[in-house]
Amino acid sequence: MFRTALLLVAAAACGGAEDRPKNLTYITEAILQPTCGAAECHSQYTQQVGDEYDTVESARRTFVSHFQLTTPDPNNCGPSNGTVGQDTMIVTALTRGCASYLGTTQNGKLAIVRMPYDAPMPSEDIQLIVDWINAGASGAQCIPGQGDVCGHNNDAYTCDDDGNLGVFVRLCTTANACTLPGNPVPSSC
Amino acid sequence: MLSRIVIAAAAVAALAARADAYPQYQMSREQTCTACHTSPAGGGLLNENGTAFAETMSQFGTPPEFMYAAFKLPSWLLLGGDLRGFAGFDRTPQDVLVAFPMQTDVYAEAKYKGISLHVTGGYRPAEHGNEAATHLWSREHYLMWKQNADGTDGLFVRVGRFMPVFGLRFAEHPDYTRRYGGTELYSETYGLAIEYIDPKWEAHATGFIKDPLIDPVEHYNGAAVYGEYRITDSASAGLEGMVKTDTFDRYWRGGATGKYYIKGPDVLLQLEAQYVHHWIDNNGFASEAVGYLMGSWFIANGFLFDLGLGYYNENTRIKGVDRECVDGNFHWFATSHVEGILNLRYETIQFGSGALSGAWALLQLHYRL
Repeated sequence: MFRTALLLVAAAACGGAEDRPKNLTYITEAILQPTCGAAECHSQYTQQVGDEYDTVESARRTFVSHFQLTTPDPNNCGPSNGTVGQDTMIVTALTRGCASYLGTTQNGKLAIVRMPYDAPMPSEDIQLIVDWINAGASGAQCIPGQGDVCGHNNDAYTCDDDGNLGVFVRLCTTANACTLPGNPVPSSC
Repeated sequence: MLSRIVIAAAAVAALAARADAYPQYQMSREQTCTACHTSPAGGGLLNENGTAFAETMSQFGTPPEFMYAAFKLPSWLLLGGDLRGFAGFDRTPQDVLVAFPMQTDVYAEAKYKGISLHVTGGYRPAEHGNEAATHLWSREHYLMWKQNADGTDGLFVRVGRFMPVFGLRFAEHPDYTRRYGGTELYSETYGLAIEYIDPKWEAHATGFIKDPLIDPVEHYNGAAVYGEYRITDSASAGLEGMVKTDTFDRYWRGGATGKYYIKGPDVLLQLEAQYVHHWIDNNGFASEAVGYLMGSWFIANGFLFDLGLGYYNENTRIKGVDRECVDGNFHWFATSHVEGILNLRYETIQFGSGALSGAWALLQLHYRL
């Protein structure tokens, strides 16, 4: 009995293999909220540089409308020579920091250091985020209630209530009309 | 280099902001928080004994009253305030210099017999995109009934906006049991608290809701309880529990606290440990563990040194997601109103694994009005 209890305690202390869910709800509540969503950082309270990661809805909105899961670092940072997903804005910020990754949404350049600023995020958590992005970023593909949204190939889809691309609607007739995945379909499509 | 300094000043908010009362003085100097503070939670306004204590514990004294007793306040009114700022070095791992205002809070308490109104107002970090409306706020405002109108113990009932009493309530908000332990910076919210304080024991029960008026830090509705029993004049033990729930997740926190004062070397040991069952909608749960051990050495009159060890594991079932820290805080209480603090931290991910680390060294200046 005592030996069993000791083994259980030891197992709990050492931790086991990665089996955590790869979806927006889990990643936000278990990782982003305590690590990035501190009061003075990317919380609803402060929303540093317009990013929020302390609720599922706000994390989805940040990821989609700021293109953080789909756009490679636009300049200065360069590729990391890593696997697919590692050059997305969010992962670049978590691993290296870079200059001007915010330029896309902030209409300007801002040099940043690695995030979170006050303490690093565990590599296991970053890898979970990379895996989640590579698997399609379930839950953060679009923002519900915005009508039809762009996919990845100049195509348009519905957006379901869970923040995932739904039914294929149409292929845009104008080239490069629908290039911002998860965001509303422009009239030129 | 300059850009790093500038950006650091903007982004270092993670390290900035207010600090509270020092629980180091409970057991080592006084038995309860209310011996020095008007709030049953500690922090904020000092009572007459608290101001006298501020004078005696400082190196050079000076009149300890509000604004050096430059003007006399009516007996029903108490005023106070805290100003803090810091500058220093942060390793992220890029090296940056940082400087930031931490706290500009003004406190007021108006009382009539056993009933009092408490208001704390001041600067806050502005909300992106809503700056004009969010530079100032009232972090705490509550109405309190006190059974013993002129005493420091007995029954207290508070309703309004305040931080639920939970655990040891370390002053430095990056301490793990603050940051990850349910009492994060600015997580004051609306609630009702029933509290009883006795020199031998105290108990606090608070029900709270998500703030419906602003974009808040605390997103949950819940309840917190904390009880502490002082076994001897130099040792105490406590139990804590908190449940809070939101649309997508729910926290159950349970933990224990302990304090032991060693009179000879004038050292106080404080420990808080929590187990957290974090249930996440349709995703099972994460078993979290949070702990903080602090040893405080009262070196000489006016000088205090804290050594803290922190542990936080965001999921004990997964390897490699634990973090550890060593903190050092040198306090110099120069006068009744002026304090200088050197805050040091070294933090690791999965200690001993060679994974990423972080560190800071910050010089903080504190002026009590």
